[in-house]
Amino acid sequence: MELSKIAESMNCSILNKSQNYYEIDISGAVVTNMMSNVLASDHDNFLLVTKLVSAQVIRTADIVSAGAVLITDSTDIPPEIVALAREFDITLLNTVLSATESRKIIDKLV
Amino acid sequence: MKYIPLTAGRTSVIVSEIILKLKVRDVMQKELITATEDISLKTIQGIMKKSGITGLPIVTGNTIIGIISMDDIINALDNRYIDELAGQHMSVEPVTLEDDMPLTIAISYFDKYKFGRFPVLNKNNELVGMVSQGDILSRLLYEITLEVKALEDKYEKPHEIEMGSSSKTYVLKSHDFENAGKASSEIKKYMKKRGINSQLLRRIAVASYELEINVVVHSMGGTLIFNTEKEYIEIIAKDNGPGIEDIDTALKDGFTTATDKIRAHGFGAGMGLTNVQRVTDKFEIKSSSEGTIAHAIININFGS
Repeated sequence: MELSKIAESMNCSILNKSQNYYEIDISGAVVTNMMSNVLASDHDNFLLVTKLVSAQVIRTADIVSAGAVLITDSTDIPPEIVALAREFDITLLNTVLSATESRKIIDKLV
Repeated sequence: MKYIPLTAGRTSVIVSEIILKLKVRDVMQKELITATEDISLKTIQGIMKKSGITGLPIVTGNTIIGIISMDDIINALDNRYIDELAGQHMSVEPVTLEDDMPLTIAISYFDKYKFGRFPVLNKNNELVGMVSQGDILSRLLYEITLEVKALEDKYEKPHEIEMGSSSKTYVLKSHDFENAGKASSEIKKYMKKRGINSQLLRRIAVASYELEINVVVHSMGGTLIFNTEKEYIEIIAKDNGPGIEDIDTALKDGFTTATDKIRAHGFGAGMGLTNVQRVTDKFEIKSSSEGTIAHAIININFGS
């Protein structure tokens, strides 16, 4: 499903919109706070869903070419993390929902 | 504040671009302080004083029916009707903004009407926010900070030592979480430019990143060496100790010596080395108290 539609359905805040934002098609979600789980994943075009706010989340998303990053639980995201998402041209979303709630909705949508 | 100091011809390109991409909903205060028409002006004066605001929307449910400004309160004090109800003295049909409007419209409204703040409605005409000039300037300052940081990062490369066209060495500092991963990002970008297919690119990037993180979080610092040969690429992570006590155990999925600080950055699940094993064609580790050398090979054909 189109990332833009998922973001709209979940009423996400868009902190950074990648250049290909409207072309990204999401096939599923990897929901975790451990980045090695993400690196172990074989999925393509997935949404990295995490509560963790760290530069390593954005770097991990870049390494595996994740479709986008969704930070859950209304976690405050400092400017340097948003700047890193911009540098790597990665879409960065924020939601008030928990990781579990987010997974349920994404699973239904995709 | 008399006006927002942004005028055509004097605003930088970056600030203009920021303004153009933002909408009213991006700058508005979403936590609303409201009152109903049956509340006295005196009570509203108290709310304004306590909250530090200069205008209060009067609502019925989610619908705005008027607004009481600081001027209304001053008039009420001067003319001694401060104990009367808001509904009798509010300004009806207040000028509002829509949350989907471009920020440029909001700026022009402040210029045109000289009000301190505007209520913001959604497409269903429900009150969803308030916006003041301070809100706009705060958001612009935030966005400008991001732009400056992005520019700073653009010119701050990882410490790279050129060793010829097919070899790069990156110096890695212990517990430097801010820069951990920069070398692997550079490697990925470099290999992508060489036209490598996406699956191989991901394997190389994952191996490099896990090895880089391993040196940063578990050692006293070291180097990451990246070599490209005709038929394979080689990644060597060398560190300065303290060494791995039992390599066989360290290679088991889930084994970890990570601290809470490391976990706070998303690592320490005990999967790093097994991830490297999974994505490489050959992987060896040698370790002593003086340091560890991890050596990974990924077979490759350029252009494949």
